[in-house]
Amino acid sequence: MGFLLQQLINGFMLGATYSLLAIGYTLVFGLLKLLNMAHGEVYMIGAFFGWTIVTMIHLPIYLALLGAFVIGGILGIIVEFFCFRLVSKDYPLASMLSTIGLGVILQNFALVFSGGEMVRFPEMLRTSNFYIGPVIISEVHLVIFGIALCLMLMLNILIYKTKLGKSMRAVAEDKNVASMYGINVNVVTMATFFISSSLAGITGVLTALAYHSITPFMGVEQGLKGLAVIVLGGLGSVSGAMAGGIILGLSEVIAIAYLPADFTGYKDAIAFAILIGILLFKPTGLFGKFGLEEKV
Amino acid sequence: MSEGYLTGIFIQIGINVILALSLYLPFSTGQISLGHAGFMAIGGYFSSILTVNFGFPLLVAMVLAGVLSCFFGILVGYPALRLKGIYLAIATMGFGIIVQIFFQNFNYTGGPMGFQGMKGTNFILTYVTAIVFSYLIWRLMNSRIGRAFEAVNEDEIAAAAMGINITRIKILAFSLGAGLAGVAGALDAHYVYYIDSHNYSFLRSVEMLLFLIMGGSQVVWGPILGAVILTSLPEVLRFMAGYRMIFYGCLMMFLMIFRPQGILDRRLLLRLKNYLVPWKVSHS
Amino acid sequence: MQLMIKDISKSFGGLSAVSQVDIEVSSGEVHALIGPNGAGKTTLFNIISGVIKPDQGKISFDGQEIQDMKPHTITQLGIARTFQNIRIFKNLTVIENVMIGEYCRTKTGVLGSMFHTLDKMREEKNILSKALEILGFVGISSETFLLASQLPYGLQKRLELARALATEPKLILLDEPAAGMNQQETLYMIELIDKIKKLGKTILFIEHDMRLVMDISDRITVLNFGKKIAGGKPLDIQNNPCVIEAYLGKKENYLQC
Repeated sequence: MGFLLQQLINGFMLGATYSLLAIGYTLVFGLLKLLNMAHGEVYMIGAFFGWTIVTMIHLPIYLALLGAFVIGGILGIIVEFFCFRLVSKDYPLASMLSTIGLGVILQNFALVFSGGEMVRFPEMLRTSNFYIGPVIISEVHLVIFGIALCLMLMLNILIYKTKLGKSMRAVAEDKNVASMYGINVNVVTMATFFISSSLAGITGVLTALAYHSITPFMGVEQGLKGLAVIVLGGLGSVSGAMAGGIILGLSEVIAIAYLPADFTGYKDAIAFAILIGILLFKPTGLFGKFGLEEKV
Repeated sequence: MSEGYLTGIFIQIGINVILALSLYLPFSTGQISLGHAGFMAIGGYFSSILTVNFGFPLLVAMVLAGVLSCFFGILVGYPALRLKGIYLAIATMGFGIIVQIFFQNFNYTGGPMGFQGMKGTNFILTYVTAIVFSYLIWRLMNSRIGRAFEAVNEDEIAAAAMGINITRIKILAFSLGAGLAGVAGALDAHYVYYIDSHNYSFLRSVEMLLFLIMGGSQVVWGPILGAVILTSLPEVLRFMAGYRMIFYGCLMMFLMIFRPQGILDRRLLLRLKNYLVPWKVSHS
Repeated sequence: MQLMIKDISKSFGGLSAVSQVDIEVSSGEVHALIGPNGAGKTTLFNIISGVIKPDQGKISFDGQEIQDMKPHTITQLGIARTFQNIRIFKNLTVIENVMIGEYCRTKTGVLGSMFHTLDKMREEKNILSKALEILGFVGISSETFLLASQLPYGLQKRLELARALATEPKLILLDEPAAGMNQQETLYMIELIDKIKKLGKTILFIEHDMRLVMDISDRITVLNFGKKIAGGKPLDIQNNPCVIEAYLGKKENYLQC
């Protein structure tokens, strides 16, 4: 029983990072029907940037988190401009392909920077643990969970209680009508990309904190899993992204815990099996609102 | 530059031409596949098992690999029918990754250790295959079926109103494309001698896509052109070897801004044809 | 009776688009479907051509029930259509658009196409010459090798008509063939429809241009709010008070409408 609870705690923590990443994807998709395939790489760059701040410039961890947040945001603006604003809307998926290109560029930079090897992120937090019954909650768990929750809360407030949030929701509903009401669609788009990518950046550092290793390839895998999460939660739904992330995190942890040793490698396939399953049977996901029909 | 080195480049060009064409087929009906490396993997591994473990001749293994991949194409293509645009892209991406993860863990084909011992791909085999496929696909696209492909791409509802069975056409295109990728996978595996799951990553699928997108996604010559240019270019620009992907990425972004249909599009091809053969009645 | 529409109804999310409509069209007839905007005319076309399935009712064509069939099967049976917002294949040439129309009447398959058999070559030649003939029939021969998107609106409408004719239909559904046309273009369209009628084809068309409707129709059906409110010869429809009320608004309360 204690074992199961421990797995659940781990799963929640893993899930929290999945959720944060997925929220970024879903914000941009909900607004623009655009899948930002560079999202995973921004997450990876965030991790590397945080590492640089901590190990090379020797600044405290919270500055690394902040730095990654900002750098993520800046990358988001770059994506908005080069992969969205300048790209013709006539060709299907042109923007998405463009973000794939940018992602590839970012990954190459990281490869060159790290020499292709895994980089070790140092222990940043005191390894004190809290014992609640049979369960161990480490400081790492708390920090990650805490920050993730804070971020999600702030995001919620932003979307539902601020003018910017209202504008974002309006543009997501109908871009043209929103602009007729005086909303500057370009600014809203940029802001959305900024928020989405800054979340990715900071999540990168959080992951590095938890798992201590970063590679130039972490973006691809996490990015693609993030896709699975938003499909599960429903493309465009923030609460879906949150729920989906937790579900995936829990599934993976449970799978590792209970599958026979030979098969644990397949745990990564869970995300994609879910992805395909949802697309086949319930493409709108748990909370999603986008259908697939065409008007005649 | 040794002769073997040059031959190697040419073989790679040939294989990439087939890969680009394999992506072109579903694309011409409006189906985007971001997981084609998965079909390539199926073809690659299957043909390798046949030749290394069972002593099949390469040519037979290639054909069987193509058939198996084609079959998987139907398997994937059928449910994919109800997905459009971005949903299809995501689903095929997922498929490609699942295949990769599968081969990473599947011990019969070596798992993380990979599979090795394949040889037999040479210049002649590659080019005969590439040229034959190019010709057949060119013929196909310039026929009633090819026109149906294009109609489905343009407007599915209107195409159905023309008596075209959308389902059948889309699955046809998708499975043919998958089969072609399988054959390319077989050729590739028997050229590189050793394969593992890393050979068939998402990046591989993206690379194929780039050949198609850059060369031109509207006409048969497009993917051929794209494969030739993008395979030879890195050799020409060998000084920037480590930065190859940066170049590809910039190219993709550049194309999407300035010429998303690729270098060779229908209008350009028409103009070229009218310029070169003004007295002949030309259609597409 | 070539086309029999019996008790057809369709709602979308609680809103009734078409309600218990009965229409009969005889072979060779030119039958107009009129009514104010939103009356359900295009929805009815979509149901006939198989794009939408009706909630209830039957449609039979030449004795066969077609309401559950897929669009491509219905075209194969001999019903062709044009669309309200032209749906030509914009990035293909004019001639290719028409050639695609011949798809269901030709049979070269994948292998035949790839290996360029004699049968295929013969069929291709036939397809090409038939397409050229049809282009001449609708009067856009001079634009044969242009991309469809390069044509002006009026000619695009003719192209869509040509494409529908290429499917060798017995019945053609025309959705607002004269929409957006000036007087000259409308006259040309009237002539075209007459030429098609002389070929022996049945025409069921939606139109708002009353002069065109009165000029060429053999019979007219009027829809309003998804229901059929009148049907008969042009002169009868013109003087039908329910029809007048539908278009011009309530003047007197006609209880029988």
